[in-house]
Amino acid sequence: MGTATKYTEVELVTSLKNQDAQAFSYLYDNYSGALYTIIIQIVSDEEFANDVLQEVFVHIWRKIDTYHRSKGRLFTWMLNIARNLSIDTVRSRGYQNSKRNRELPTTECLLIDGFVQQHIDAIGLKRVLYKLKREYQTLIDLAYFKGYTHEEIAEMENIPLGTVKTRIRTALIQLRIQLI
Amino acid sequence: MNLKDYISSGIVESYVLGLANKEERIEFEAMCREHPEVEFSRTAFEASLQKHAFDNAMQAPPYLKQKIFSGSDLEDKLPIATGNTQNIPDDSDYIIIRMALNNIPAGPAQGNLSTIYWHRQSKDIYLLVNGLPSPPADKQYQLWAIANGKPLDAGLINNSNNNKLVKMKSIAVAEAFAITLEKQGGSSAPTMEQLYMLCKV
Repeated sequence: MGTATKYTEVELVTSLKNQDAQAFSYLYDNYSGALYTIIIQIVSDEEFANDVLQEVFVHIWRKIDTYHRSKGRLFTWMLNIARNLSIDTVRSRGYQNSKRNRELPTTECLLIDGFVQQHIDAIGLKRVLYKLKREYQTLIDLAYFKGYTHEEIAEMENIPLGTVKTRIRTALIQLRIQLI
Repeated sequence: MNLKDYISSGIVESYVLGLANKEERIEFEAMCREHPEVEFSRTAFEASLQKHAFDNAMQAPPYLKQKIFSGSDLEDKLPIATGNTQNIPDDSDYIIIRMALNNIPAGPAQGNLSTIYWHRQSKDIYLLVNGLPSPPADKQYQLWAIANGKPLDAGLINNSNNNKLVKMKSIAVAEAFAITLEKQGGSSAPTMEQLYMLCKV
């Protein structure tokens, strides 16, 4: 299904809200790669990541009416859906079981996992993350990529809640600077 | 806290990346409505985030699109009309191609999709006929496979076949499929002015 039409973001949202399948196809062609990158960084297992991407697009299709321009860009909304569904998947029993089964310590397996992990770490936001101070890296990893609440992080890292919050905020500002 | 401090407190990034809690979100949305500077800072961060994401985008496996748009496991989720779904072959062995009525997007509400099931090994083709207008008495629809830019006859569609799954001619290679309206008994080349459906594989 080729989609030659180009949409502005406003047109795209309007068409999607009208359940226009062609606009949906355009959305997939133009946004799936960027969304896939964030998914694979959280989920790391390709098969699960593929499932999440499908889920993300079904979710977008069904929930587009809940998107409001006043709250931000379409991409931001979709990025958050992708992140949330990825974290849900990582926490699901199916994912945890499959990880456990695979973590049999065969050298081959470890090598492959190491390679995949390196590859994933070298892309997207994670690459930017490595430019930050180590403690900031850990905090962003826990909060953004693993989805822990500030309270959970405070407990895990044994740092006061207020400090967790301040450091995460500082880390995010650093991240913003790196993105520009 | 003054506005400048608020903007540079990390709340903007926290909100956009989905790390703000409920109170922070409500407050931030109110701030955006009241102060264009806050909204501007948000938009600017969103833009650089999006640019970075696009510059670093991986490619999702290409077969996923097909799966999302026509996978049987999603059929109940994506509200695309499917017509008669009885006796539809298992999708794992088939390439599934959905064809919309020409110039009308394959929209969910309209029952205007015909579906081709193309067996990966045997190359057999089944067509679920749906959404074609009733042809005049002296005409009938014909399916074409386009390979290397040339149309190949893939079989005739009987007028009584609506909403039925019909076996067509087997096709080894094709980059697209088309349905045209032809004279009874079919034509040796498609009448392109009477193109009703076209879909790339």
